[in-house]
Amino acid sequence: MAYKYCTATNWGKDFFTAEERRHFYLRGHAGNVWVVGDNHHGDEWIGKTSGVSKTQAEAQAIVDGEVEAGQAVYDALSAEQQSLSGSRPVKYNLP
Amino acid sequence: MAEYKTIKGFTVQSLSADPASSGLAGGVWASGGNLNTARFAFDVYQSGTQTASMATGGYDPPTGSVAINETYNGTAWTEVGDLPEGKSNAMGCGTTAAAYTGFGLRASPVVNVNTTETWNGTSWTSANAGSTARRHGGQFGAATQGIAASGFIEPGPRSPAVESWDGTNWTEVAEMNTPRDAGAGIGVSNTLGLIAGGNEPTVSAKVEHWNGTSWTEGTDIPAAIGGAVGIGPSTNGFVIGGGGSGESGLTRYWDSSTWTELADLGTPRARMSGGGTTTSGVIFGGYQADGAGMVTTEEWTAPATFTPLNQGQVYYNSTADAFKVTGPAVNKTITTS
Repeated sequence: MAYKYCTATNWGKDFFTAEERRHFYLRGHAGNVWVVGDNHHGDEWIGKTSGVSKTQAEAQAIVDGEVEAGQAVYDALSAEQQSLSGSRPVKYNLP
Repeated sequence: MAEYKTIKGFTVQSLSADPASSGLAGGVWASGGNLNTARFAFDVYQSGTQTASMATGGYDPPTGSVAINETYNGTAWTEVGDLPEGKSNAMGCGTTAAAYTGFGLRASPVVNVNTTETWNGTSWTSANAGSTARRHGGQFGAATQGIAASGFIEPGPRSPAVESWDGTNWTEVAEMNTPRDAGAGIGVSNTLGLIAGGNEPTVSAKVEHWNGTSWTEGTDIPAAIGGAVGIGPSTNGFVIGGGGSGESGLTRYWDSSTWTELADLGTPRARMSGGGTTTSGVIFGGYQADGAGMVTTEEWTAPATFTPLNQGQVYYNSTADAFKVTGPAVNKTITTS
């Protein structure tokens, strides 16, 4: 499956609709990064949300930056706070 | 001699949506209104409906446990009566009209508690406490009956303790077979439910079923998961999202005999709350891969009517502008515009 990448801020209700979800792949990531199925419905959604197109490498760098920032926040917490905050954020690859 | 249909051809069915094996298989998650305050590890679960839900308490590092309470009307979240004190990781259930929070983590001093607060639709009132102070276990039930299962105690490991809420008092009942934290509960009473997954501390796929008297191990969920959220009754419920190897967007449907994977969340997350049913559900908050609390809400809707899927079915999806034929596992597109 081919993807496009963009950043867009989820404004809430109807940011993505049920009808849109049925027409293209859509997955949100840290840093307001969205991986979008590469078809004309996905293109329309990027337009609707004023998404800023990114290359895969650019999108990955944004997510990596957010995860690294999350790691820094986690590492600065006390051991007690860490136990309450879930596991340390881990980097992963976008599709 | 040419047959009539060879000369005439045949009509390809035109459908506005792909056929599905069931209404649930055609369900998807769409975005809902955003919470006013980002957080995870809430205090109330099985929290109402898609158009009347409640986000109570919760945790957001480095602030910690908060007293904030918000209600959802299907469009927007509104702040309503706060908890008496900051609290997160509780094991409560209920709706915007009536709810309880049991156990959890107090904001200051930061300590596990056995306290209970009840909600009457307007304000919170202190109620009878449970026995074992703990946090972040699994829960299912409704406002006047629920189960608080396992969770962290300190100092010490995960507690196998289970307590049953009858709307007034907590009663100690049979312990779980495998203590865990962050199990996902499905069930709407204190006599029937299940806890799926959790951390033992390793992430678990184990499922235990409660029949009002004892716990019995059942069919594992397909993959180990902790911090997922359950909605719906134990014979027709979802286990959604969670963390295992990264935050998950999976929706796992339990029909009382098997687990089936349905459409993913738009944004994977763990330790959110939610409510509703397998035909009309809602989840909100949680944390994603960077560990930060989230404000976003997602709403599950499964179509009441759908076109049954038949293998080998040829059709044109007028919405997707795609010519398709159904295969054994998925709809396979032959050509598209």
